[in-house]
Amino acid sequence: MIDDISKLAKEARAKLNKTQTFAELKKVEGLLLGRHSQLRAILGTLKKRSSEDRKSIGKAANDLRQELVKTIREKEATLTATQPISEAFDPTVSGSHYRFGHLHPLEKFIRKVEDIFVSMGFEVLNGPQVEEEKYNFDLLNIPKNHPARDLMDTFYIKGANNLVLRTHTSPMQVRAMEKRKPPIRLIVPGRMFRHEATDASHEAMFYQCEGLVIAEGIRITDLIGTLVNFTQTVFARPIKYRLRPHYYPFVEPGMDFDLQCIFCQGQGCRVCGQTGWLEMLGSGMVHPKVLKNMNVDPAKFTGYAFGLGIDRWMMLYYGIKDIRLSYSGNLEFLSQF
Amino acid sequence: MQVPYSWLKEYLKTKLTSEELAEQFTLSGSEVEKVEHLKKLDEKIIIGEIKTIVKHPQANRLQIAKVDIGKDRVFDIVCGADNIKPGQKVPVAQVGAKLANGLVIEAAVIRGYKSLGMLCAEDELGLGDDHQGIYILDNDFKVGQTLNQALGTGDTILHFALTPNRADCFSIVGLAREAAAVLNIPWQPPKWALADKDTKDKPIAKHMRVSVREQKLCPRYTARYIKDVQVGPAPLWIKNRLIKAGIKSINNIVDITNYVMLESGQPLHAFDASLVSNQSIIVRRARAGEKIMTLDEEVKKLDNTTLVIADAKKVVAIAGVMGGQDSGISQSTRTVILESAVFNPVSIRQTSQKLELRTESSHRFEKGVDMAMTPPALDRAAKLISELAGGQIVNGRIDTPKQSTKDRSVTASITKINDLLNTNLSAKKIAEYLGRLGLAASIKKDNLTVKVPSWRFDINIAEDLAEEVARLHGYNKLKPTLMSGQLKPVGLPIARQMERTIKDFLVGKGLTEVMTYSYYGEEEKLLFDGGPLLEIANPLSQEQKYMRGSLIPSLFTILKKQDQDFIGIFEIGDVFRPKSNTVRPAEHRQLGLGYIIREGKANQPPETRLQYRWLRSIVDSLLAEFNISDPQYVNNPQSGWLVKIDIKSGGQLIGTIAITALPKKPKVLFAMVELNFDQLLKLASPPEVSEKPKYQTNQRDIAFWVKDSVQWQAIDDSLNNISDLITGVELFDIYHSAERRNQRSLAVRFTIQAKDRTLKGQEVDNLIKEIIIHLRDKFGAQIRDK
Repeated sequence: MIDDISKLAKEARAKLNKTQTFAELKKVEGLLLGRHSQLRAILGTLKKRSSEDRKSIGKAANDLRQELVKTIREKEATLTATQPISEAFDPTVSGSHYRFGHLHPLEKFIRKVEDIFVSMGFEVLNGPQVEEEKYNFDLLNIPKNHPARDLMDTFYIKGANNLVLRTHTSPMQVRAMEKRKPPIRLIVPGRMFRHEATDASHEAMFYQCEGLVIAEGIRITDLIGTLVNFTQTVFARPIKYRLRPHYYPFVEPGMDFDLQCIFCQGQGCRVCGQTGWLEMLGSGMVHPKVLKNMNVDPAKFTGYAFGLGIDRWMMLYYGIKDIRLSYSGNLEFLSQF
Repeated sequence: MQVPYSWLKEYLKTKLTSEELAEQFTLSGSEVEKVEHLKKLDEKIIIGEIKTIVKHPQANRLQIAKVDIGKDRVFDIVCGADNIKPGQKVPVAQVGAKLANGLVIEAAVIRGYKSLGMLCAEDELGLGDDHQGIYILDNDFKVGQTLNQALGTGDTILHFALTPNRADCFSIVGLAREAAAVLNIPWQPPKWALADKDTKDKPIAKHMRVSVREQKLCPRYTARYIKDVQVGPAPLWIKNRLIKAGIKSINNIVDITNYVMLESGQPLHAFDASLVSNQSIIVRRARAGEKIMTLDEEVKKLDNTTLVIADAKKVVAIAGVMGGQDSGISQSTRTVILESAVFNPVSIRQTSQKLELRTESSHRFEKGVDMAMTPPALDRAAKLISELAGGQIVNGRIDTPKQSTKDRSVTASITKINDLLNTNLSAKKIAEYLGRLGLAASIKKDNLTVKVPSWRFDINIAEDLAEEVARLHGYNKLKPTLMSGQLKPVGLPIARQMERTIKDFLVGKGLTEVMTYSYYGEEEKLLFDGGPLLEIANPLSQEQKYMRGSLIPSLFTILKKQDQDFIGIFEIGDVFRPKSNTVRPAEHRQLGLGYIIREGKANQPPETRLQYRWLRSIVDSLLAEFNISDPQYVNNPQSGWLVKIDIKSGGQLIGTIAITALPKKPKVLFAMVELNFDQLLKLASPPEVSEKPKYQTNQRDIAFWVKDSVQWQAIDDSLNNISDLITGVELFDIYHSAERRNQRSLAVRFTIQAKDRTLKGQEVDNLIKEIIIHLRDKFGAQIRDK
């Protein structure tokens, strides 16, 4: 009988070894341990045996049973429901159903700008695109009949003698200060318009991000520091910069911020007009007249402002050379982002 | 402004290269956009003098010239042009010289005669288009000198992008003065005042009179009277400099006025005195109806806002903008009235804008002209005219009205300047910087008082002085600092947070974000009527004349261009509508999305076939994001659209759904949705969160026929009111059958659940029966067989 059990054990192990799928295993399990299995039959005869036989045969049979149960449980955990695919399977075919769409590169870049400035304690505001001349020009120290108005070619609204498409995001400086008192830090990303012929680097409509900080003791070096830190965070590395005095009627002193051309590392190329530098941003210390227009006392507070051309920065960031692509509705272009 | 470097160097002694100087200018605020190196002529092209000319014995049209090229060399040169005469100075391209067209001169035998070089025409030198004859040079050119040296070719042009505040830099002298201050080197200010020996004849008052009737608009008018001039071409050196500065050469008198304007920044004008009636100049406002033909041969209508120069009878010039054709310099001019005056910037700007006439002169006057420069510039031009056009300057100069010189001064505190710049400059250093710019500073303790020179209109407040100090100190020496100060917590505004969430949601749904222009044209306006539009007064083109009132036309324009049959795009942006009684128009943020999508099977009900249900699944999810629970959908047909549906909430229009197809591709649908983003935000509320009952839910499906005229919304609303036990009603299928006209089958899944217990089967069955009866009684529904 003991021999029968060893033979059975051998067969059972062989059978289990051969099973490859979950279904097969279940079948073999039934065969080996089920109601009609040989092992059950052996165990059923124990009652009739001598106590000695009962002991030895019973132990052998039970040991086998336990061994088989253990093996089966172990195997269960590793087998799939059906047999693995044996025919050719091409793992390199592409997906067919769900593709994400794409955020516009300008939106992506604006988010970056917003997040960096929010982390520096700047509020994010939004303002109207059809603006009163008062806010777009007069209150920013750009009086009527002043040549400074030539710096910004303007779209006017028909039938309204005082409405323009804002030529910069700066009108929000005064609008924001109607409801705020210093100290303030804020940015205004948004669309603006210039009455200009378009080419690869000029658009009549584009995005700017205005920045405004007013507090006691704000210095021009704070402006420089903010711009330098912003740049480093955007590009995740320090980039050489230079500062140039520049004239904007609503700041004094005024300043332009150039970055070393990222395309040629300052060697001079088409993008930078062979100068090695890219004009990135206009800025300066808020003009005392503008502070007064904001009901802020220039004797007590100083501030700085900047206007950052989002399109330009975005184009540099992604290496895009034609500003018009952004607004072309060219989905092949947009789906790269 | 284009500045020839050689001209600048007449006043500025510097060893810097043009590039180095350009960088210094740029870094101190006078931006040089481009440094342009002009082509150099070959050094083997030199100046020769024709000694004799003989006919070529073998060829009728050719001549042989003996040309002296200096250093005792006289060459025989064969020449075909007939404008040469002995005694003329001409450009000689020697053997080996390369011409502008690339031709290299070789020693040649022409019809048996050896020619050692070539006499050149203007075009062969690359100096112009003229090929009529040999380029005859002025008599004062030196034989043997290279043409390069003589003409100043190979010069460098600095292209300045000057800012309008620095009126003083719009001249050679002004830029030399500025560079000297920045570089801290001396310069040669011009000494132009005429001495008595330069003038003759009776005093000017005997020749002409000037009366300024508008002293506010013309604070200074100076004039000289020059007799016996010979009008002709200007000498080459003047012509060349004008051309390099971008100004056309006209004749010697006009060229000299332009030359001096470029040099001094003071615009000048020359009248033919014989055409000025009564020899009297009157500065006055134009009278209504007066006209003038300006030098560009356009007739301009004037009115009393225009300041003019007139004689006793007529207008002879638009003051500071452009002279009149009738009193201009011509070949027959013998006597010149030379004007150097200052006009009010605002008045000039208004006139030049009104007449759409922008000139080098108006350009300078509207920024401001240095009144101290007015007389010397006049004298400079008068002297040049007498030297180069043979004129005789009569004694004296008119200068009216009487000038009162009062100095302007600006004060500042040394501490304030240092605070603003975060520097620690001594009072002495600050005074030195300002002094270099001609801003004479006196210091009393912390107080700085600065005398502002006549040419700096832009210095008015302490901050202006701070900028001047920073400019000379060097902006790039200022070290960046981190701000310190009180900070309030900030974050993105709710609207922007929501915008980002919605954009991410749509991108996750496979839509791509687009940004389209804020304006469109008639075609888009007609395509999608949403009422009147805001119009741009001066659009770039007719296709961009309206501010958009909807996003749908722009989205449609993009979708129409695609050749795929499934694609989704969206945009969130401002739209505009005119609004009465307010200063600004209505402007709000709008969300638009659009699909190209294939039409469903022909036998499907229209809601499915036109992919309305597909769109609604997006709209429903979006509205759920704002937690807007009561939207209504109302047909609002418009021609051009298969369906157009208004979306309303709380009685207000909050959006539109519009679907159409193009005649060429009727099976491809353009399905678009537009929602008023600002309004959604206003209607939005935080989600109402409730704990879900833990008792068993029961789901039962019922399908029934109803008339097409019965809208689902009514059924849905009414079903929800039957019993609290109904916790979900979902329409999962709509079906049409050919046998049942004007009817459709709706298949609805009910979720039934009690809050406080597990429902018995019998209770659920009873409720279903109740629902069926309700549907039958209220909507005439007929239950479909299982």
